[in-house]
Amino acid sequence: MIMNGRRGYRVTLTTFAVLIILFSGVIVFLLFFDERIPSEDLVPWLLFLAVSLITVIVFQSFRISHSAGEMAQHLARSEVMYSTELFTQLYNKSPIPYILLNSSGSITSGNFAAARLFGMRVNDLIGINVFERIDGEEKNIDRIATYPEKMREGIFVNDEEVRVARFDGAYRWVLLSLFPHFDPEGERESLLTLVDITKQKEIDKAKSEFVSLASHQLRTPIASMKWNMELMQAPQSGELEGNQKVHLEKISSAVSRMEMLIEDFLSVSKFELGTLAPELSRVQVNEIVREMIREQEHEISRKKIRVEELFHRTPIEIVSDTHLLRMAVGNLISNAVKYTPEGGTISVATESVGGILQIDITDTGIGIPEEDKEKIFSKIYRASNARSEEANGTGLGLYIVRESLRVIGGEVRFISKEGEGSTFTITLPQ
Amino acid sequence: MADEQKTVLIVDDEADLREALKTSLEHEGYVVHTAADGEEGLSAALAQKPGLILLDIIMPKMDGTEVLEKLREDEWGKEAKVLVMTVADDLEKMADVIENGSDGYILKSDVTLQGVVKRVKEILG
Repeated sequence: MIMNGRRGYRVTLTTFAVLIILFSGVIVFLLFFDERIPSEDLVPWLLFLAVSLITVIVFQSFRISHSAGEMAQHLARSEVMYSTELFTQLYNKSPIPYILLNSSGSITSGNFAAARLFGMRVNDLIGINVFERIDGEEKNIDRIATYPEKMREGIFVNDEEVRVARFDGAYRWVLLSLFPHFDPEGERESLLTLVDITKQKEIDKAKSEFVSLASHQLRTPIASMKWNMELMQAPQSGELEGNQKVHLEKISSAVSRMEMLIEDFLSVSKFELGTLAPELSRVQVNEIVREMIREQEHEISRKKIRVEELFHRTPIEIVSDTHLLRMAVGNLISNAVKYTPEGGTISVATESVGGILQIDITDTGIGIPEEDKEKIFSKIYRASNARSEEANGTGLGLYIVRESLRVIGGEVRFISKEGEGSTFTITLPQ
Repeated sequence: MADEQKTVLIVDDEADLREALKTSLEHEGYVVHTAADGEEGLSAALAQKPGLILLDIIMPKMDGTEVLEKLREDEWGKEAKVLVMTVADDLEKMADVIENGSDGYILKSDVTLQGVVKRVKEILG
C-alpha cells in the first residue's frame, strides 16, 4: 500500500512539471514569433524554461536511481528469505544426518535423517550426548575417544568409520565427519554428519565371506593336484620322458602360485572380517627372518642377488603370533627379491632397542615413485613401475603386511627413491 | 596284531586325494582300505580295526568330528589311532578335534604326500 501511495504522489509531481514545461514552452514560442516584443524580453522566459527542464531531468534521474536502490533492496531481502528457506529445507530434508553439537557434545539440533538414524523424533534428539553413543572396531577405539577433544580444539574429522548405537538397541555403521566452528555468540559449536554405510558394510562382509568360502573350497583341488604331481614325480611312477618333466615343473609352479594367491585372498578376507585373533607364543625373530630368506633362495640365486644378514648379536625372542610375523616379513622379503634387478643387494637387519623390535629390509630395487607412496599399503594397489616390472602381482602383499602387523600391535613404514631402492621397517613392541 | 599295525584306513570324500594317498602308502608296504564318507568310514573302522585311521573332517553323511565321537564310544574305537586331515585352517576348531581324542592333524594343503607318509610311519612305526 505504501508503495502505491508513493507511486501516485510521484505521478502527480511529474504531471505538474510537464504542464509547467508545456506552459513556458508555449509562451516562449508565442513571444518568439511576435515581432512587437524585443528579443531581450525572451531571456527570462527562456531561463524559466531551462530551469524547469533541468529540474524535471534531475528529479527524474533521482527518482530512477531511488527506485533502482529500492528494487535492489527488495531483491536482496527476497534472496535472503529464499536462501534461508533453501537452507532450512536442505538441512531438514537432507538424506544425510546433520547434527549440531554444543561444546560439551550435546545435540542442540538435528535434522529428520539424524532422527531416523537414532530411531527417534527430531525434538527428542536435543540434549543427547552423541559421543556416548559412538563406538567402532577395536583398532579404532582410541581414535574415536579423541573426538570430544578434537571438537574442543577445533580440529576437523573427515569420513571416519564408526558405529552408532540407536535407541532401539540396533547399530548403524556410519562415516563420521566433525566440523567445529564458533556460533555468532563466540561459543564453540560443531556440525556433525553421519553418513549411513551399514548396507555397504553388509555387502563388504558378504563379499569377504564369499572370498573366504571360495578360497577354502579351492584348497582341496589344489591339494589333490599337488599330491598327484608328487606321485608322477615319484620314482615308483617311472621315468618321465622328453619334455614331460619340464611341463610338469611348469604345472607345479603354476599350482604353487595359485596356492599363494588363495592364501593371500584368505588372509585379506580374514583381516576384513576381523576374524584373525593373534595366537601368541615365544617367537625367535632371527630364525623367522632367516627362514623367510631361505624361502626365496631359488629366486635369490637365479637373479644373483647378494643378501646381507645384519642380525642383532644375540637372538631376539618376543611373544607374538608366528604366522602373522612370518607373513609380514615374508611378504617384504619376497617384494625386495621381486623388485631388485639381477646382481642387486638386499640387506636384512634385526635390532632390539628399548623394548622395541626393529626389522629393516633394504633393497637396491626399482623404488617407489613419489606419486604412489601414499597408496602403497592400499588393497589391490600397485605402484606404476611395479606393474610394468612384474605383471603377476596381486597388489595384496603390502596390505597384508600392514594388517598382519596391526593385529600383533606392530607397524610398518618405508623410505624409498625411485630407481635406487627402498627400506621397509617393521617395528614391534617386545 | 601285526596286520593291524600295517593297516591304514583313509576316510575322505575326495577320490583324487584318497587314491593318491593310497598309492603312496601301499608303496611303503601298508595295507590300505578306503571309505568315501563318514558313515562308511565309521563302519569300515569298526569292522577292519586298522592300525591308523586318516580322517577327513568335512564330509557328506557324517562329518569327521562325529565319526571321531562315535568311534570313541566303541570298546576298540576308544583306543584307535586317528590322524585328522583337513583343509580348514581354523586352529580353534582343530584344537577341539584334538581334544576329542585324535592323534594329531594334517593340513592337506600344506603337506606333501611324503609328509603324510612320514607322519603315518611315526605313528605306526
